[in-house]
Amino acid sequence: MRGPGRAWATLTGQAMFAYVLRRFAGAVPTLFIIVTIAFFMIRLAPGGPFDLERPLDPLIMKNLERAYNFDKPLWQQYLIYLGNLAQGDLGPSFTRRDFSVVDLFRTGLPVSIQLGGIALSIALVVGVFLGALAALRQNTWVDYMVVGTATFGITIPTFVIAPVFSLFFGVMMGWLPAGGWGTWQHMVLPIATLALPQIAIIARLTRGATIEALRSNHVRTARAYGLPSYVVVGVHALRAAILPVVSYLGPTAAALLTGSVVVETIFGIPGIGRYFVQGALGRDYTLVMGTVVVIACFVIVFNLIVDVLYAWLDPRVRYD
Amino acid sequence: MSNTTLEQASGPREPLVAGRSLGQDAWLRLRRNRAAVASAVVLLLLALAGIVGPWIHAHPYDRIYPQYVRAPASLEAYPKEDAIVPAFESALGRARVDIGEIELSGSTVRAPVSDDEALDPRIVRYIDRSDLFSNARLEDEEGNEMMEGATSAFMVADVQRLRFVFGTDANGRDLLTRILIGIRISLAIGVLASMMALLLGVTYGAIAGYLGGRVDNLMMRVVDVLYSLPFIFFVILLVVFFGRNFVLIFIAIGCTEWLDMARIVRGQTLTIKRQEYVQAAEALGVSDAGIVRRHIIPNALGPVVVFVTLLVPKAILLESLLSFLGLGVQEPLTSLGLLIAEGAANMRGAAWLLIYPAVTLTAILFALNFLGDGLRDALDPKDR
Repeated sequence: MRGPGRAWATLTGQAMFAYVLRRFAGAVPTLFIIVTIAFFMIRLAPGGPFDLERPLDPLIMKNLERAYNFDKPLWQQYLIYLGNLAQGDLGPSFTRRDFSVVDLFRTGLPVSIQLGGIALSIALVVGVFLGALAALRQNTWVDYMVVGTATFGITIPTFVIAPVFSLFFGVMMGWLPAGGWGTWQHMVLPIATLALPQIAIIARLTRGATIEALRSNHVRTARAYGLPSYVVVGVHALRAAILPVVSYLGPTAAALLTGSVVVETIFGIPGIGRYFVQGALGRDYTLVMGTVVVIACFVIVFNLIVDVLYAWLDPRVRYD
Repeated sequence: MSNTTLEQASGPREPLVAGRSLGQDAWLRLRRNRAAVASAVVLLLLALAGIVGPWIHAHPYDRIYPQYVRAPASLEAYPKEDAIVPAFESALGRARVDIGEIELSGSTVRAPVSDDEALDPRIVRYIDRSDLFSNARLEDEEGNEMMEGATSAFMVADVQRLRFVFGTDANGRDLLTRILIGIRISLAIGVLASMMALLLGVTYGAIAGYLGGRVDNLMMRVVDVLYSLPFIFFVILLVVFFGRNFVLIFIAIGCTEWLDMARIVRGQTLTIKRQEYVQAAEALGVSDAGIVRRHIIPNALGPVVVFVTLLVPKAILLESLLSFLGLGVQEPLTSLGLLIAEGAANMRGAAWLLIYPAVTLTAILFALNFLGDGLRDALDPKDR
């Protein structure tokens, strides 16, 4: 009994390792396509990073263009960019002189990851708890409360919640700073803003899936065995019910950890969420490209994590 | 005996249960859903307000009242009583004449003015220029028009009563009109972008699903690649690089939202094309395009309709987000997202600028979501 079981485990371990490797290999062409499309879209757009109200002296312009390789044909610039990218160099920022794009991410990314990570953890715990609670008390006032609040949380957009929170708790009540960055008080409102819609969505997903899981055969079997109800719910029902949450979390985690433009703008947070819009407006080619690359990497990695988790939670899923 | 049965069968007998078509059935169920009906009513009213409101309302959406910058929301008419006399005094002060005591009676202000030289009748313009007064005139003591060359007269002006129910914004424009325009723009973009996504997604999905095989594989691969791109960024890129205008915004939003639609329609098509009526059409020699148009698309439409109703709020949200980031419609035109962004910038001391647009947008989104849920319950045969 034990022997074959172990053999099976190592086999899946190997299979999983091979699967992860294969996925990473598959991610390279995806990333390549994304980088290529983004590069040419940005470069074909009108305007440039050195367009000012007053045109620059032609000689200075020429020197600038030479310094940033703009005098070379586009395909050469593309190859140079790819070469630098392969070495982890995202180039200098055009709008924030004296900073390289890597520097900007090195200071901004931890801030965004910190905020997004805490918001994500809170959303996951609270959302799953509320969803499971609503499912267990289906059609009681607890259920209606959770579903009603969730509808509210899903409908109201972040760019409404954020200023309203800032106005109410920051300006009117004065309980928390309305914006800024530094102490833990500064983190409360942004995290609440980020977490609320996610709590709502996760609660709704969990509720639906738990109701379905409670009716399924394996949960009925577990009940028939006389297992205590917390084991039935906590182990058998929730394990199945969490599947849709996990697949939802992939892109969501990537989006949360790479910062939200709205939240960072309203609360004045020095994260990376604003870089894309600012970079695109200022024709900061390298900053835009850097943001695209970083976000694409996050999406790819989190989709991979989700797929692996999925197979671990649902043994019927096979790596192939 | 056989006669009687025949008579019974062919007799003028009302059927006990009238047959209901699928559409009628869905309509009945939708009407029974109170939240959905209420949402539909709210939406209709809001749409009506957005379409007709700006024409009826007293203030044009781009009219600036320089003296009513950030006037708080109030049901009473402006100017407030105690603000009239000082405003009249300061306006008249620019005329550089001697001013007597200003008296206010009802809705007219009156003040004696005199000067060493003859009074210039053009000084009424100083009063007319103010947002608070209109119809300024110089009169003599009896209320007749001032004689030319007189050195003393009475400056009389009507107080111009204006209502700003929702207050005014940081530029002195009436917020209510701007919200009405915002509703119009937001709803229009939501509907147009959804139509765009509908057209693209249904055509693409139906073709991919119907042709199948290698073409299907390739077309869906394209969709997968587009999915993995951070797409909101590409909307922003499009808008940033090709200018900010109304048409581009809804095309850009439509282009990002058609992917889901294509997948849904493809899935539907795959099941529909194995149905007998499609095989019958094939056997009759109907062309591929004809089958897609006459059989595939109409039968795949149920889930599509449901998806579209949920797409409209998504498109509105995306447009508002773009406007919020300053990439949406351009001033003096406005949308709800833009109004919320301005409100957020002015919320210290002018909270109404944030609250009213936020409540309006939330109401629209709620109504659309409830209506979408109701439609899904009504149209989805699975939940019967």
